[in-house]
Amino acid sequence: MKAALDWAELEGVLRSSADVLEGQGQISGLQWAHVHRKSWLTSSTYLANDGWSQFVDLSATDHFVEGESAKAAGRFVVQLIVGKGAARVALRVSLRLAELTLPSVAALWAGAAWFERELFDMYGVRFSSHPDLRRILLYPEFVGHPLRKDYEKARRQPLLRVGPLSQLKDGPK
Amino acid sequence: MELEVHTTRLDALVSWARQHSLDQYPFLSACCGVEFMATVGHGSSRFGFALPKAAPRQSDLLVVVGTITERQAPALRRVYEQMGDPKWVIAFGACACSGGLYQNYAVLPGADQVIPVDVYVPGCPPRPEQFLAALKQLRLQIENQARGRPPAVPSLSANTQTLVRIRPSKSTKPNKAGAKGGGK
Repeated sequence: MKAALDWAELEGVLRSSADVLEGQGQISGLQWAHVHRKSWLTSSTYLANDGWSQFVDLSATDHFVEGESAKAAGRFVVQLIVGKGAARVALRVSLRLAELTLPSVAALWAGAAWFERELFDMYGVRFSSHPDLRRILLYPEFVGHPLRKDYEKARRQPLLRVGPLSQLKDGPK
Repeated sequence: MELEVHTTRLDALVSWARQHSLDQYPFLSACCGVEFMATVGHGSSRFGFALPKAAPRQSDLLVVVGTITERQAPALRRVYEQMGDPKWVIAFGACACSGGLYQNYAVLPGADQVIPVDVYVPGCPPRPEQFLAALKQLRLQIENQARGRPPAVPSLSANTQTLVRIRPSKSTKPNKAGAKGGGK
């Protein structure tokens, strides 16, 4: 079992599904590979089968530019970090607002399920074939995704408002 | 042996009893909770305050300690409504007073958005002595209430109206696309 990512092997896997590695590198000892969203599941499956069994993190960033169209490439970057022993490897993918969907990797790493729910909650990334894609931190009444850069700063969505007692839902019992 | 007789008004006597037998229910939600626990060691029982206990229905004083999120607000309101009258509220810490550092989508800008607050204790976190001072301040307010005087520090929020929890509208169901199995 290798303790580092074999670039050539990953490229071979991607080439077999008619795709290429969009970028690769290393930062502070962390190897990272940037793939196209179509090969997100292919490359994740490759990592899981290559012994990267420890799920570490799944996160996203929003590189919003004012006036950018929904089809502009690479507004969101989703990053998956998995580990083998002390080694870590990051798999990244760029997403545009118009197609903010990814296949779920919860079947490969069970721990990813809640992180995918968080990305759905905060950024609105939809994970297909996720077992239970609901908001995880915010309430179902919440509208929008607050960690997107175009979410209005400090926009509150209170759950309580003044109203008649007959509408009391979670009142005293 | 000489018999001593004191005369007083009934409401003054009741007020005196209330001031010296306040049962506290601490609503601990964040790091201030740990700081609040330290105040117990500073001897609030010396001033006639019972030790905090986790029983809102049997308490007179609700101490809101720590950050209250929008999602928690209905729970806080419910705890307040479960307490029997008369009842008082202390907001402990910057977050409970005003939301503190967090002016964003998730955090309630002060517990007084959903319940009336009698005494505010600022600080991030407050010193235990500040909490003792707040208890003395509250005692003064209870006395003033009984004597028909205005409170020394008027409550900033007198929101005693009925607050209801909004229901999810059909358009905001989060689970339309994406999940194939599971979910509601």
